[in-house]
Amino acid sequence: MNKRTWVAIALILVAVAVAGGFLYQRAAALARVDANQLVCQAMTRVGDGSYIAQVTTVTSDGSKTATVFRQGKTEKIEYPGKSAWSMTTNGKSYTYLPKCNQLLVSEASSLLSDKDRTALLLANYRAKCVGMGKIAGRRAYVIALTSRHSSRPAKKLWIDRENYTILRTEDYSASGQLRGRTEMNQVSFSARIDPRTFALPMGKTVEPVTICQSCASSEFRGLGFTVAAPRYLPAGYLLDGSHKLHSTCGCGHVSAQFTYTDGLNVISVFETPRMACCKDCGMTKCDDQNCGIATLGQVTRGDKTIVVVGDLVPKDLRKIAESVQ
Amino acid sequence: MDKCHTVQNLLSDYRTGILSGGKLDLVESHLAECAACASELRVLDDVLALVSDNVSESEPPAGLWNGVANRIASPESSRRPAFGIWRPLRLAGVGAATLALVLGIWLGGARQDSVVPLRMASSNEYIQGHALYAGQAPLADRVSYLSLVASNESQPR
Repeated sequence: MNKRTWVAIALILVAVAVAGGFLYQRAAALARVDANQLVCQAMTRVGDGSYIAQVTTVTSDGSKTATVFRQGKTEKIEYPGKSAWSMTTNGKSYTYLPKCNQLLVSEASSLLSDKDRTALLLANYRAKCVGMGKIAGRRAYVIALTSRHSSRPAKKLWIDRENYTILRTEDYSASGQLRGRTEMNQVSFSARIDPRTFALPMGKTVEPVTICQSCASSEFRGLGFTVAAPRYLPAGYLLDGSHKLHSTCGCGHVSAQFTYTDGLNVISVFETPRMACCKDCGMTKCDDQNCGIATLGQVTRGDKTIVVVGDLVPKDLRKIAESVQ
Repeated sequence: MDKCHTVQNLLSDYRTGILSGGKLDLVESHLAECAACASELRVLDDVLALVSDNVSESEPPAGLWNGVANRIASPESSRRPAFGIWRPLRLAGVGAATLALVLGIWLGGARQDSVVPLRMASSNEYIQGHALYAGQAPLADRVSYLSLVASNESQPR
């Protein structure tokens, strides 16, 4: 080998040694971060504090911006241009649609306490600090949540190093691909929020429409068809609630909805009467389709159609749908 | 090995107390005789008690393993021919690229910018019903979930 070859080899060795040193230092710093504790603090922070933030969310559908107003457990998301907004407060969500002047009302029951949900999350997912970052000018820990089970969604969180607010998230589908990301571009923790921001629209012109209504599963008896919980669920999921979903198709039928969570991902199992007015594929084997935020599977059994929605691999989706008696 | 895999999949359910019957017997009998699975349970207990130190082994970024598995399974995977001749210039190029890659990972972390194709069945009431519930979970991406409902204004009700 000539002199130039030796110089090149020496350069590579130096580069590898320098990079190795940096990586070792970085890994040592990250290893000192208690990721589980950070996740707990971020989950607690979700129901605390106040801020105004400009947020961008990106999916393959494109990017959307929104302004988020957060005060305690109340959060309002305003979408620009159309003046539509959504607000969640005290277990209810309101979505105002200005064009048709409707206020969609939805109740989400939660059988799990915040503590139970956090324990369930950490039982099903490994939290690991994988880096440090800077979002909206604020320093953040980057935490990866990876499932202890195979073929499950994963998530990365950028958690503010000072107040544990979640500044950025990346969601990975069960197939391991990046599904979307949401990031604060600007955030102000000191801005005063006008209390009228959280006022619901009043007056005769606004039509409240109940979409989703929390109820006990015993109340499903009045729906006119047999409702039964699925006999199969993927490992790690617990029942978190039951609801009546009021159809928006115009025929006025009501579906039963069971909701399950593993602390991060959620599954909805809908059972709906088989009616001619609604789009019904009439399949006796589960047919699934990917709808971006989740996979939707549908199977028809006797007098009802079962629809399962969640970020699941098709095999699990089918098993859940077909396990409903 | 298969039994270990099955039991480890059931550990979170076991610790949450929702196992019964045959599955409970399976887990308990296996834990009594398998040190590896008993150890996995202890790790889980440590996490649940929130007193654990950080996991010592190096773990890949979220979603990486499933992505790799998918690429391996993909029929479109192709291989590039290796360098045939050792030339100093190429060596220096490889060295520079290695250095740039390592520094890139160190400085910014590997970012995945491709996004799964979204085929939104926007008129589907079940997707809406799911989004309304899922959007209220503590770590949910509410801006994205609830925009699905808000963007359905053009749909007839």
